[in-house]
Amino acid sequence: MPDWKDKLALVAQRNRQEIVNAKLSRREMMRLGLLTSTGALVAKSGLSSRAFAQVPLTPPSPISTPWMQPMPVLPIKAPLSPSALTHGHPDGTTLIDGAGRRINHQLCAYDSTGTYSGKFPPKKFYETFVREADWKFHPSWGPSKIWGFDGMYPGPRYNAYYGEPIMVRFHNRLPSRAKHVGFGLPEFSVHLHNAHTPSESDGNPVDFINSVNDPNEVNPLGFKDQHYPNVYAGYTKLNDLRGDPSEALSSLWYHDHTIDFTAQNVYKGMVGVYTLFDDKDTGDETTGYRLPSGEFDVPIMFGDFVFDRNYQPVFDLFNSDGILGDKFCANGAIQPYFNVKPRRYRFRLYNHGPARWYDFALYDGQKFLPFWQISSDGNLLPQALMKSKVDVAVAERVDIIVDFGKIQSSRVYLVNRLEQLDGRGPRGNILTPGTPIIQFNKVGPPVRDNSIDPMVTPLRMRTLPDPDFAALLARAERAKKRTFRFDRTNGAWAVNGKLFDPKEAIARIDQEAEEVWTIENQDDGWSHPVHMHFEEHRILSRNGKRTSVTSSDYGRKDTIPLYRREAVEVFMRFRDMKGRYVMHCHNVIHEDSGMMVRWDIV
Amino acid sequence: MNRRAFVKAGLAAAAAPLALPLTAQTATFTSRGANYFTDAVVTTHEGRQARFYTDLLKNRRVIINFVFVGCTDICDSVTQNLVAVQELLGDRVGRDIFMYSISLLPDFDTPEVLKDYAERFAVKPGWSFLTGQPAEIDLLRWRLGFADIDPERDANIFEHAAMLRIGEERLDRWAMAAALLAPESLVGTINRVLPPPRAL
Ligand SMILES: [Cu+2]
Repeated sequence: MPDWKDKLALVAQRNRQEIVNAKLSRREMMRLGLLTSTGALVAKSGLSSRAFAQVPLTPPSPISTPWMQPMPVLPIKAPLSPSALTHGHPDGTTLIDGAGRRINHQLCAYDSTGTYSGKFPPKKFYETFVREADWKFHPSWGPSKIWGFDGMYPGPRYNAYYGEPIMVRFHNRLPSRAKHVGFGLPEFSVHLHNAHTPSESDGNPVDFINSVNDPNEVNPLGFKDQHYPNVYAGYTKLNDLRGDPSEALSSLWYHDHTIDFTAQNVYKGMVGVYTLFDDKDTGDETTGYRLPSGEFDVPIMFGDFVFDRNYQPVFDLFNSDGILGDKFCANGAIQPYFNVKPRRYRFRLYNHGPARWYDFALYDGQKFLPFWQISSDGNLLPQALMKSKVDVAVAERVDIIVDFGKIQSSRVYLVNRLEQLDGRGPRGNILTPGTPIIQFNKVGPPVRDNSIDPMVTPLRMRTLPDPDFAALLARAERAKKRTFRFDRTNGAWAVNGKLFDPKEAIARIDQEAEEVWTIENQDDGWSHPVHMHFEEHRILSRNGKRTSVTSSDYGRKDTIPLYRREAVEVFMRFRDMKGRYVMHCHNVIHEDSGMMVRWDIV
Repeated sequence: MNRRAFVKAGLAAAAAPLALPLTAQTATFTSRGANYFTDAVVTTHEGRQARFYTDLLKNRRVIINFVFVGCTDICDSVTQNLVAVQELLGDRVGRDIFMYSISLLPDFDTPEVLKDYAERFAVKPGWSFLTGQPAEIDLLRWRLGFADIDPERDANIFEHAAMLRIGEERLDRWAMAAALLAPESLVGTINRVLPPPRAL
């Protein structure tokens, strides 16, 4: 018998030439589903990666029966006293430039009497160990190697509060770079996505640190302190060290951002959740906006992977398009179930990528169910919107409220309805019902629910910092304009025809300035989720069309889904801090291949 | 002070490293090997024949780009830039780093043509220009990730001439960089992926 099945399974990466080399007959190829009746090769499951024309077929992941395991709930990180931190209390300095330079934190200091001072002295201290660990993606599988914060994928959840600055010590305990084999570089620079953070703590791509397991490297202790002021933007003009509460952020996340290796390291597992609260979004459903809280406030990180026969994640190192997985994880579990009580929940939906775009919906086996969207990129909206599905591009976040008390069915699925065949992004084809990722099982009798029922009482939340859109447009007219083209040039991902050069700032912007940036994608082949660090922006127009109040572009954003042949005009602000920052495509494979720019606030 | 100077000055040792035992064993790696990279027989600009994986890639640290002689603008700029990179890397090239420029037009870029080209740029030892069977070179191009998902763009060979693949086969560690970055920046990237061996 021809061993064509073995031939197909053996080689890890393949393309059309390989199939040809394997000498499969047309009939065999049809049987394997590699060929359509018209004779064109089709992409099988597994990494849908490089060109369709030369399909590199990664064998599909091992079988995993869905709904075999509960969805993990991310543990909440506990603070320590500063003196309890490994290597002692933070001393007011931090490492930048590949740990080659040590500088003072901009916004906090430490003096010899042992007290913290400066604008935002930290009130809480944390430390986290980034290390390799075994992780079970599925109960019937063997362990997979991941790199995670505290050895977990995703990492723990930080609950932070406005007005309560924190300091986090990141320890690099990854394997030695001399010994580690396979994708991932054991160095990292942690970025807190959408926080208003001083440059030296922002996770700039060049501010990576080496592992303690490489003691001959420049940073033998292998750690870096990062300062998160947890302050609303705009405190400089208001002169109050508090800032503008309408700039509040709520669902943030942290991930590695190290230059050239972000995609590999994120795919290794270096992601986690950071949620911010204040006197309105309180984390207590009897106060403030009265959103579902405590065990009913559940962040969920979505990521897709391909695994080899030994359950190890496979990363196509020679793909610069964007890799897709055939296994969908929620909080590190492949297709888990989640038991819920018949009441309201706040789910914070995070898409950590690396390249998949989602369109989430709730499906009960017969129909799609309505839910409330309460945020956009984790920023609470002025009011809750009733939706039947929400788009979440890579790095975007959406918080939703689901009322299981009102749902008839005892079993509901969170599904992804968006079809995506390669790293180029979705083509707009909406699937029915789509791929189920989480099974919600309603269990137990009704329980107490102090959260607001948006069906009964309209849920009003954050007013926008510039609620008068016409006035904002008038200000935009006076602002400085810049254009950034996200395109492909000479086989690489570029911005304005240039590849990322960490030494070159393409814009020098005065602190407190306001600018209008046009983000363009002239290529009709690709979509890019474009992320700007530092401050939220407002989308003024898309393809010349003013943003309407009902559009998903309306509100504060930090990531722009930039589809083919689009131009998006955004209103940018640069308040309170100075230093270097970046804007980049959050299809992190594009980022690593050059689609990033550095800009400085001076 | 750069990393090297720091180490030279003995500061790294003085700072008392705390080496922890690895908590988890490194995952076993099955080499991609010739299966993936192919053992296509290529000819260097010096007329030597070599199997791509076995002779040129295996256990080596490499910098790879694609080039063709008829392409005057971008390829020449890249080659010029890489000459500066070779200069900056000094005697590491040919010792712990090998540079390969693979022809995008192997039918035209014979070993003699490539030899001329290498001489024109005063390329030093440790850097080879490679040519071979067009179909095999094309496969190699795809395997190394110098390709475009859009067939029309993929057919435009200029599209593949501006990137560098930097890697170490033994560790399966691979990165890509823009070939036209300033030579100092490029060397920074190269040193990060392929750190210089240290004299202890
Ligand atoms: Cu992109």
